[in-house]
Amino acid sequence: MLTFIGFLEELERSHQTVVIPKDEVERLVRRFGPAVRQMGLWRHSTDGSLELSTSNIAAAARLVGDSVLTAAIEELKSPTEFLGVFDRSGCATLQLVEQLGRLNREHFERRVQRFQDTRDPVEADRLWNEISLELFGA
Amino acid sequence: MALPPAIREHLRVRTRERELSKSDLAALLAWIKTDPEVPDGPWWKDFGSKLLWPSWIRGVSRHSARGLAEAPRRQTRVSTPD
Repeated sequence: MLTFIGFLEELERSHQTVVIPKDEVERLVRRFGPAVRQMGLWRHSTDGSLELSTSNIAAAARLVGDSVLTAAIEELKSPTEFLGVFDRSGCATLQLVEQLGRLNREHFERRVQRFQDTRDPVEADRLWNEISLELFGA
Repeated sequence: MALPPAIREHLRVRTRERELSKSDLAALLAWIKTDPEVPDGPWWKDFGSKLLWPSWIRGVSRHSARGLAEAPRRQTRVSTPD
């Protein structure tokens, strides 16, 4: 049987992603705010989709804890289209979104740091292409 | 975002030479992801470090540069939406 940490390591190794199509991204933005786009790679200049790392999703779920995760699932399944300003303060989904955004930003900054540190021109080119994809969408 | 190759190269070199930091690029990325509304005319945004993001070229809404030019006085400063 796979342990929890083993499961997370497997996710990390597999580099699997979840892609949210544009319509769903914009629906989530209307409901939870623009922080939604910070959760992953936003392909703003092509199809408008948002690509999330499954390892980040697992890490964010672990960081917010079971009760917040359960509440977030209920909120996401709810048909409510808009959150009022006051509703956002205790919103479980926003806690999950914030953690995902933080993890994604840390990942991006590590990639930039590696780009600055590496002496291998081939690796530098590869890293810049990845950074460029994040920034410019292509 | 269809940026001219020269602008992309300028940004790459500035980052590689550490004149732009990982925080600068992360701030730029976070701002782009807010899908900001920008004026129809020329505009610029100062990220407070060495990163300036003006729109000089028609059809290109955003690009980053330092040392390419000063922000012209007649351009509109775009505020940070977050």
